[in-house]
Amino acid sequence: MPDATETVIGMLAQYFPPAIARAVVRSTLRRGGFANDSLDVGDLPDFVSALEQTLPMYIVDLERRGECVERVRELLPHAQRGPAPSPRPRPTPRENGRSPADRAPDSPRDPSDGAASSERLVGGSVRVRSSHDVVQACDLARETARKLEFSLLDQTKIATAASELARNILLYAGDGEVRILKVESPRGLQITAIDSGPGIADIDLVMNGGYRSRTGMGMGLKGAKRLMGELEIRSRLGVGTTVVATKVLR
Amino acid sequence: MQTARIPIIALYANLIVPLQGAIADDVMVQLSEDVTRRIEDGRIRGLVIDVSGVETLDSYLTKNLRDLALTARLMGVSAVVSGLRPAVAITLIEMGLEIPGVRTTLNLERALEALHEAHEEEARSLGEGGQGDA
Repeated sequence: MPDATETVIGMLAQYFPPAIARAVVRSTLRRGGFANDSLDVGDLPDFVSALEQTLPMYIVDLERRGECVERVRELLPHAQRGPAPSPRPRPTPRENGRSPADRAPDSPRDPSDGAASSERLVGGSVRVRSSHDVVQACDLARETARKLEFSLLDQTKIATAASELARNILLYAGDGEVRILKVESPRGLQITAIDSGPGIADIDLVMNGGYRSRTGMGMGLKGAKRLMGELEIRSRLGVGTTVVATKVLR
Repeated sequence: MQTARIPIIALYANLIVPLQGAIADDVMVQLSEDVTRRIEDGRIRGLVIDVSGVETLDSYLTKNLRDLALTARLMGVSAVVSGLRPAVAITLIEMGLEIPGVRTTLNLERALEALHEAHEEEARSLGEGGQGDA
């Protein structure tokens, strides 16, 4: 199989400096559970799914991110492109030992049929513009955690964290999106909160200092980190903030 | 969208507010207005906010509940939050959140007992004060 790593890095270099492009590919390979550091052309469909999960860390702007994923998808030979592009990152389960090429080139892949699709339907996204959307994000997180068989306590923690992150969007950006995803290796649930608000000037201050209060406000990010275990923030002033919080299923 | 209203139950001199599920901001604002108006009537001496039907309490809602309880107290009404679910209580502590200044009880029954005791205590101290003056 030809190595596609350099091709993908070359494409991503339109969006990032080369060193970052390399880092994006590396972290995507890691997150996607790929065996080694190089990328076969045959792995590209899985890589694209994994990329949809990694990219929010690097590109905040929804449209730009979608475009970037599409560019990588276009590197696929036509028959392997799979289902129509979805604006929502959707982890595609790896097909057990079956190469995508085994499929007839024109066979339609309707994402709404078959057992594999119910797997894919775990999670979803909520546009956050009002406190009612915060409630929705919270409900979606609990429902997803329940489907993934998290304990009742962890369901509560995850739902609360989603609520905190959605509330943060509402308070500081006014508009954004919360996505709930199932992740593999390690198996767990991921909440991604994206906004194009003012950004956070001093992440360290938010996470470690100052904004401490026993009564609530300003607890959002810190609280969410404690509840989820892992939490990463990418923020640029005037551009927006992406928070990715992951809870591992134990 | 029409704002859902949370029911308020009057029992003897107490108000009982049973919260269920998730509560949006406008609903909470409406509740605070409703509760304080009922307190203003003058016959009310205790308030119980029962959260046994609440599956998720985030920092924002927790702050709102505390504010409501403290507002009631400021108006001279004893306030108790009852029925925190175990998972909710653990989650609040894990976030580093408390509800300082607000009495909490295991369930609604204990909350009513606590209010009853508080009222008797109050009556007794008033009575003693009266005797002292005589």
